[in-house]
Amino acid sequence: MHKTPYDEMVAEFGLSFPSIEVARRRTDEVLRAIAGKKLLQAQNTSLVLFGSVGRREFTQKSDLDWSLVVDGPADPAHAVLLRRLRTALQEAAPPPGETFGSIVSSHELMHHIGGRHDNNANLTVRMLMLLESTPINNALVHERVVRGILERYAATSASVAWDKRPPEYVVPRFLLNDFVRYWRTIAVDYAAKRWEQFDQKWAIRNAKLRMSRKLLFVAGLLICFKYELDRQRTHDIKFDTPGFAAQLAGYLSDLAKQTPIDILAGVLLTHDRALADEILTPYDQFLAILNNDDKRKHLETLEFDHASDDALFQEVRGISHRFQEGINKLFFDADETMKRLVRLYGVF
Amino acid sequence: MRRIGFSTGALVKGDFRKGLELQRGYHLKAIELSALRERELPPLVEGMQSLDLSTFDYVSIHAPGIFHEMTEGEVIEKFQDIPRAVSIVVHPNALANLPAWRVLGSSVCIENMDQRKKTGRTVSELRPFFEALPDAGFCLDVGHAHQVDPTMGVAIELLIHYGHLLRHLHVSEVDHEGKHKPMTFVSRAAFEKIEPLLPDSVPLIIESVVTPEQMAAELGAASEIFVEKLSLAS
Repeated sequence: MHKTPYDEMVAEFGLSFPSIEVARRRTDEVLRAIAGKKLLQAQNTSLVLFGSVGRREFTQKSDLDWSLVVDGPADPAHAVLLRRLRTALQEAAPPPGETFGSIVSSHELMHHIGGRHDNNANLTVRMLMLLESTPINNALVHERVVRGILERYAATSASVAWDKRPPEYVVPRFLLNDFVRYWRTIAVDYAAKRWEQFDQKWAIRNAKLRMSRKLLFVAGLLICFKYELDRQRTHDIKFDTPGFAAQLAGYLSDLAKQTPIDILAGVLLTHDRALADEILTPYDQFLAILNNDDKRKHLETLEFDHASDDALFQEVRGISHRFQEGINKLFFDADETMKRLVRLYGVF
Repeated sequence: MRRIGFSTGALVKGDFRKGLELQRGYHLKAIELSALRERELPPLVEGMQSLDLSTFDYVSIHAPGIFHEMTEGEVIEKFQDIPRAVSIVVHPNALANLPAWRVLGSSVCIENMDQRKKTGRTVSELRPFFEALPDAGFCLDVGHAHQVDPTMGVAIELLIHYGHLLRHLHVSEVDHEGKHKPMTFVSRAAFEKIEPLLPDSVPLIIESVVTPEQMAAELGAASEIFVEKLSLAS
């Protein structure tokens, strides 16, 4: 397998994050096991994995979140294929939650961005297609859908002045707004689930919100800022041609193929060892907890009223605070270009 | 002004002479003689000498897409009888013995593939073919590239990487089954995105499968985008 930005970063800085590396190896084993099943497939469809597999952060009790993405004519046989996939994939890992394990049509992903048809489920799948998805088969179909989604954002991000002069900053604002919207939606949904489900599993959700969900947001922001952050830009987009949105979508799509940790590592490579360590050590500790069966179960059953005295939950909080401090440093202190981008695009 | 013409195979399957005759009335400057089906190759090569191609500035031949009745070596041998100025368009997925094609030098023209093929569809998938055949040219099939990526991002990437090798274009709309159809609004709008990246000197071969009655309309559609450069957006 080729070297990822994470591999390059740990080699460059002489760092090691054992739990991240275990999770990446375990993910590769799961992917190999699924590939070995020689699953049924059909034209214009792709079996796509999301969640911890998509992030290469698979731990002992991770679910297998997947969908059958259809990018072509609808066919009743797709439902039969879906049932067969469900049966085959149940052997690999626990079945997916309510958002997954179904047919996803590229039509909704591409055309219902914002507006009254863009419901929570559509937003979630679209964002996760961009931030943590990996195809098991027909990778071209997956990439075609991702490029199509990104072209929608890229085309609508264009300023009225772009045809007169090259943009001062190439930041896909529409996409950035949707990443922000998704992050805020997850945070609101966390509170809603606590309310609806009487605090069941709230602590594990809280931990994920502070860590893996936040990392998704970080990766989304970095995808949007990367063109400006790239000091040795290899991808010059011709903004004076009608194909500029497709070019920008292609650039963003190459980034979206990377895992959130790799996207972050690619940026950390341009900083120093201390900052990489400050951000990724807490993340490594978080994955170690998720990978520990007893600790995970403890977080899944911990009651809200007992959290303030619970040693494990307080440990998770401490980890998340250190992670947050590192992220704050990256976005607000460590880099002049980043500071300018955050100021220009981050809030107002 | 861009030279434009049809593939004989798009007009008449299995009869390059009839496909050629159908184009005579349109004063076209480019033509592709199709031997996409293997059995078409021997009569085409043997009949080339007797064909009057003097009105065309640009001539290409489409090599068979699959080798069953002839070996790859026999196909290459046949092509050695063709004048070097004629481009020989090959499907990369059909080539098993890449070094053997070097004998045809710069006549070889590698085409990007549609999504049904397992290779030859993107920049990275085409790289080994251009590395193995350094003298080969590039045939950009805009319909294939559009089917692989409707945003045309893949087509633009192909032009960025292999544009300096670009010999000619294949133009049609390719449906989800990989069939070459007349262009519609959707494909025409997509093709407009890449037109500014195409030098006028690069000829265009229409591969849309059309009846003789549809030829003028398809020529008009291709000309609007790639010759007269009328914008659908305007």
